[in-house]
Amino acid sequence: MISFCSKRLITSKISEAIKPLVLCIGLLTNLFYLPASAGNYPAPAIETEKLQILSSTDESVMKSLLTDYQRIYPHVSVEYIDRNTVPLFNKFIEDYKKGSSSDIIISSAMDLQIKLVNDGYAATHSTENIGWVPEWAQWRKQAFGFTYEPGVIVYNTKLLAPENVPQSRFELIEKLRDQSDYFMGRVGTYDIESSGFGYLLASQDAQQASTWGRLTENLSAVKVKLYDSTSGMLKAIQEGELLLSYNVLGSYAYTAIEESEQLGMILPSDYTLVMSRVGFVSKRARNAKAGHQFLDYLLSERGQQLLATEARLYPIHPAVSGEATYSGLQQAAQNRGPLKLIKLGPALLTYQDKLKKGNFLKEWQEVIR
Amino acid sequence: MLSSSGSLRTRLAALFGAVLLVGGAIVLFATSNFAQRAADEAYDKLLASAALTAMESLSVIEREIHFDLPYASLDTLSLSKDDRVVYRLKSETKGLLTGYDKIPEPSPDDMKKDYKAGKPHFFTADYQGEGFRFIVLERLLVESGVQEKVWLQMGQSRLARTELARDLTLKALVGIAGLIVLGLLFVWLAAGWSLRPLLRVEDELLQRQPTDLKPLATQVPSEATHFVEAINRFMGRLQRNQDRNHAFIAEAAHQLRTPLASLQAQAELAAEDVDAEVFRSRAERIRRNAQETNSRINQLLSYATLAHRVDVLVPELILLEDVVVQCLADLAPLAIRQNVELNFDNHIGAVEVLADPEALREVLRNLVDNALKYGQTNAVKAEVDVTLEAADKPGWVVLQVRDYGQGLPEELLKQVTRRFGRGEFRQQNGSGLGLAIVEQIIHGMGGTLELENGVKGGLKARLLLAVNT
Repeated sequence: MISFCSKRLITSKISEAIKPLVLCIGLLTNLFYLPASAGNYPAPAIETEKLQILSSTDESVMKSLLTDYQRIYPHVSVEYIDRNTVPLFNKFIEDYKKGSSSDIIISSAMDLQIKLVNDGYAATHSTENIGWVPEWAQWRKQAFGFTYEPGVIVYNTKLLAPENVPQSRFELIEKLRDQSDYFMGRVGTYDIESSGFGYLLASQDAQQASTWGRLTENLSAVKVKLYDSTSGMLKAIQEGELLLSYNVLGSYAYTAIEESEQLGMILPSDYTLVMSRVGFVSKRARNAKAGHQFLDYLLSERGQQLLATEARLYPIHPAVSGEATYSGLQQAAQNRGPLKLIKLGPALLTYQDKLKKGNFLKEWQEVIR
Repeated sequence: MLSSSGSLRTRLAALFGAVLLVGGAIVLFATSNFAQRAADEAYDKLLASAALTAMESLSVIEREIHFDLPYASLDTLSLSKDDRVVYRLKSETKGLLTGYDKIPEPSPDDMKKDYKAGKPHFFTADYQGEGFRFIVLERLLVESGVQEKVWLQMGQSRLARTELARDLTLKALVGIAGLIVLGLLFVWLAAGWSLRPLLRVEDELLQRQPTDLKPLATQVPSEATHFVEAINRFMGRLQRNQDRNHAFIAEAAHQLRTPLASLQAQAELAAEDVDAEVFRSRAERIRRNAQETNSRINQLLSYATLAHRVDVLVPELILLEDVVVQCLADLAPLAIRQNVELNFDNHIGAVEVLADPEALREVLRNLVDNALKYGQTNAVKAEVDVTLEAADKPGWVVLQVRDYGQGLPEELLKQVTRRFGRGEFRQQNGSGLGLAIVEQIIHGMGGTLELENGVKGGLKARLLLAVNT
C-alpha cells in the first residue's frame, strides 16, 4: 500500500471561485489500491450466521458500514469479496450455476446488474422500509440503487492552467484538438473493454449525445491512456502522469479531492451522468435472510448516513444531508447543467446486446487503437 | 297476534339481492375478461412498437446482417414498469444472431396465419416460471446478394398487464357493489312505498265502528283490488248476516209476543172460569195456541238454520236422485203418521248437479214438509208427489213437489218467496216462512224456485237446477 499520509496535513482550501465544483484536498491513498480481495469480518458476538457480499465497491470504502452493520447484527460474520465489475459478473454467474452464490451482489455496472435481474437471478426484496426509494432507483423490487454518483472530469490543479480546464465535453474536445501536443499521452479514461462501469458510462455517453464520436477521435489523437479503475486514474493525476481524466467516478474523486490540493473535479456543464450503485439479493443466496438484512441496512437512514459521512458515496436518502449526498450533488449542479440520471430499467440491456456491444467495442477499438 | 310468514320486504330484498348478486357475478366475470383483453391490447401496442423500432435497425452491410438494437426500443418497454424483457434475432441460415436463446418458441402455424393476415404474431407463454407475452416479426432481407428470412422475437413479462387488468376489474367491482347496495336500498324503499295502500286499508278498518260494514273506500293499486274486493265481499256477507239477524230477531219477537200475550190472556180468563165445560174449551184453546206457538218457534229456528246456510254454501258434485231419496226416506214416518202418500218419480235417471248437499236436502225437506202440513187441508187426495224431470231449458232439470190441497191464493204466490215483510208471517200461518229462505238458497245455488197452483188444485213448487256437464 502506498501511503500519502503526509499529505493529510494539508488542510482543505476549496477555491472560492469554483466552489463547490472543484475541491482540492490531500489524498487518502488506500482508495487507490484495488486488489481482488476478500475481507473477513468475524462476528463480534458468537457467530450464528454468515453473510457473503460480492461487491465492486472498494472494501476500504465499505469497511465502516460493515462494522456498523455488525453492531446491529453482532452474530453475523461478514465476508466481503471485492471484484471489478466484469469479473464480478462472471464470478456470480459461475457460482450461481454451481448452485449457490454470495448473498448480496453490489456493483456500479448498472447495466450488468440489470441484466442479472432481468435474467431471473435476483430475489424479490420486499420490506416496509423501502417505500421512500424513488422510482428510478429500483426495479422490480429486486434491484436497488442506493447511491447517486456523478461521472466527472478530474484534473491536476497544479499542472493544468485554469484556462485550460474544460467545463464541458465541447470544451474538452476543443482543447484536445487545439492543444493536442500539450495533452499528448497525458489524458486518461476508462478502458471500457475491461471495466464494466467504464462501459456503462461510455455507452450512456454514446446514447445521450452526439459528442461521443468526436470525443473518442480526439482522445485517440492525444493517445489516451486507459485504466480499469477510478483509483488508477486518480493516482496517475495525483502523480502528475495525467493532466486530466474523463469519466471518473465522482464519489471516489470527491474523497480524493478532499485530501489533495492537486486534484480538481468538473461536473461537465453540457450534462453530467449520474449513476447508482446497485445491489440485489441472489435467488440462490446461501443466507438470503442476511442478504435482505444487509440490503435493508444499506437503504436505512443509518446506513445511508454512514454512506455520506464515511464512505462518501452520495447516498440517495432525502433525510441525509451534506455535500456527498443526493441533495448536495443536486445543489452543486444547480447552476451548471443537467444531471442525466441513469435509470434502472430494461433499457440498460440495450448496450449489453451481443451484437450491439460487439459493434460498440469494435468502433472503440478502431478509434482508440 | 297472527303468525307471520316473514316480511314481504325481506323477501323482496332477498330475491332481488340474489338476482343482483348473480347478475353482478356475471358482469364481473365478463369485465375481468374484458379487462384482460384491454390490458393485453394496450401493452401489445407497446410491445409491437418496441419490436418494430428494433426491426428498423436491421440492415445488410457487406453481405453481413447488421443489427444495432436501438435504445428507444427497450426504453419503450420500460414504460411498463418492472417488467422483464427478452428478445432474440434469428435468421433462416445462421440461427440465433443475438439475444436470448432459450425463450419459448412460437407455433409456426399460428405465426404463418397471422402473417398471412398481415398482422404481427403475438403469443403468451411461460419463461422461467413467469408469464410472458411475445411478439414475433418476420422480415425478408433481400439486398446485395443476401436473401434470407429473419425473425425478431420480443417478450415482456405480464406484471403491468395483470395489474392494469386487476385495476380495471377492481374499479368495475366497486361500481357493481355500489349498484347492488343501491338496488337493495331501492327495493327496501319501494317495498315500503308499495305496501302503503295496504297500510291505509288497515287504518280504515281499524278506525271503523264495529257495526260499520260498508265497502272500503280506500283507493288501492290494481294489484291490491282483488284483495280489497275480497274484504268487501266478506264484509257484504257480514252485513247481510247482520241484516238478516236483525230482521229475524224483530220478526221472532213480533211472532212470539202475540201468541204468548194471547196465551196469557186465555190463561187469565181460564183461571176465572168456573164452568168446567168452558174451562175445558179454554184449556183446549190454550193447548192449540201453545202447539201453534211451538210450531212457530220450530219454524223460526229452522229458518235461522237455513238462513245461515245461504252465505256458506259449499257446492260439490252430487247425484240428485240420492239426495231426494234420502230426504224422502227421512220424511216418510211423518207422511205415514198423517196418512199421506209420498211418491217419487224420476223421469230422467241419474243427474249430477253442483250444489251444497246439506242445503239442498234442507230445501227439499222444507218443501215436502210444507206440502205435508199445509197441503192436506181440503185435499182432493192425500198425496204428495215428488218428480224429477228435464226442464224446457236444455241442461236444466226440474225437481217438483206437488200437493193436492187448496193451493195458495194468487196474490200470495208472488209474495211468499219475498224477503220478510211486515206481517208477511202472519198471513199464511207460517206456511210461507220457509219458502222465502228456500228461494234464497236455490238462488245461491244458481237455480230458481217457481210456485204455481195446479189446475185441479194443489200447489206445485218447482226447483230449477242446472245439470253439471
